[in-house]
Amino acid sequence: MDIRRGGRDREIALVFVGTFRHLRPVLSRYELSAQELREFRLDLFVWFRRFARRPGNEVAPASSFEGALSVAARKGIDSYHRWKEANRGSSDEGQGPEPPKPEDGH
Amino acid sequence: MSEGNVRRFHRRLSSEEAKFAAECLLSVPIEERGGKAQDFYLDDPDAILPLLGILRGKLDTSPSLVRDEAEYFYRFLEKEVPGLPGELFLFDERNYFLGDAARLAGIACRVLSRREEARRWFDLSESWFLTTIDPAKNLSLLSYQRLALLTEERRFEEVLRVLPQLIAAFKSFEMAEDALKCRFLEGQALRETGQLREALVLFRETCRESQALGSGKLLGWSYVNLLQIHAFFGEVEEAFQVACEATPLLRGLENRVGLAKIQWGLGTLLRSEGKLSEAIEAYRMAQKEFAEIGMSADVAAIHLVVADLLLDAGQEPQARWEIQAALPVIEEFKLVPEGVAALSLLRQSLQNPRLNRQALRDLHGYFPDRDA
Repeated sequence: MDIRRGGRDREIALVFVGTFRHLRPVLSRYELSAQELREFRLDLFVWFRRFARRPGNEVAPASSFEGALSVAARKGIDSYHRWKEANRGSSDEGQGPEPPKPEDGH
Repeated sequence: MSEGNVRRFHRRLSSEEAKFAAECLLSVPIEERGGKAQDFYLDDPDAILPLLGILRGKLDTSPSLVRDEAEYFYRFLEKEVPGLPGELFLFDERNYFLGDAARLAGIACRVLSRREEARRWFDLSESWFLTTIDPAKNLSLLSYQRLALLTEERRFEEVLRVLPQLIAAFKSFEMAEDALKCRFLEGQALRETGQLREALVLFRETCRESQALGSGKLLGWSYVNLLQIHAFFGEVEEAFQVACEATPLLRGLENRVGLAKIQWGLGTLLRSEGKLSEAIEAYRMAQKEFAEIGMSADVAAIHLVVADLLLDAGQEPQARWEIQAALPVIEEFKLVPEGVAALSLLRQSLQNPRLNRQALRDLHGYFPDRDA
């Protein structure tokens, strides 16, 4: 294993954990179940790791991505919430479609 | 949400697997892929990141391939309807990858002198990046490409007006290599406006800074620029020394564009020493390399230089042939919008017993040398 890569992964994970802790009060407003919150957290973490590998981000300190992570979390949870509200009826029948991803600006 | 997540994590690739998937895709010619893009994980962000990285690394080796692959990927992703069950893109990723693919296609088009096409890709890229999270870095990288395009169109005043802000932006993002790349545009503006000594000083600085950053790529381009200026001044020893440093470095990086430009510089050097046939041979080698890479504009530019040399050698019929080979490319690519008069004069003179040499030189003067 590449030692530098391991160090970078750790740096990213630490920033994620620290930032996510601050986001909890915001996320709690959306009244997610424990499972929903866990899954959202996983999605956000996977996104954050890939975000840190985009050109221009690879060498920047992970701490400089805190703002981007907060924005992604807020937009993501808001979009999920809107999808859930819109599909409340069909979800009750157990046929809920996959939630849409935000940022489909085109 | 849960069903999608299960699929997502089931499909995730390790970084080695993702790189392998990207290499597999590139080893299959586009026309043989049919509708099997998913087989190469082209819908998986973990595979797309290394794919775009590999393509970025091939810009100086095979710009035509990068253009075709970036367009292929862009068209594939454009067709993917966002929000389908099992989709692997999270948050802004689809838009980000569309923006990055369009930017790559645009850069490749710029290197190939397809300027209008490059501009259209850059506009598309910007429209996708604007809807991503934290777009400032990507928009700055796009600004650099637009300035590089303006440099190639010899719109130096506009370039120099914007460069300081862009350099400051890159520095604030801690993107030191990109800040340094901006200085190359400044150097090219100096060189093309006749401030060659100032350009020489600048490229010596970029050499030092590239070494300090550990960027072989930028060091290679610094050498290419230094060689061209030394060659112009006929500074044989300095030019030869730079060529010796540059050649193994560029070969190691598979920078075929840079190697062709080194050959071009050697042609200029030999010409300055009055060695006409050797100079023509060096130019021909550069031209062959440019032709193989698909850089038609540079092939055309060398036709004009060789025509001028052939006139020096009293070989006017051959010179006419060189000019006739260059003119269709210049017109097709609209390479010298500001040199239309020279182009027209040269074309007219092909009908006359004597070629208009001044028009030939003026026309060649409108071709900037592209770098970085």
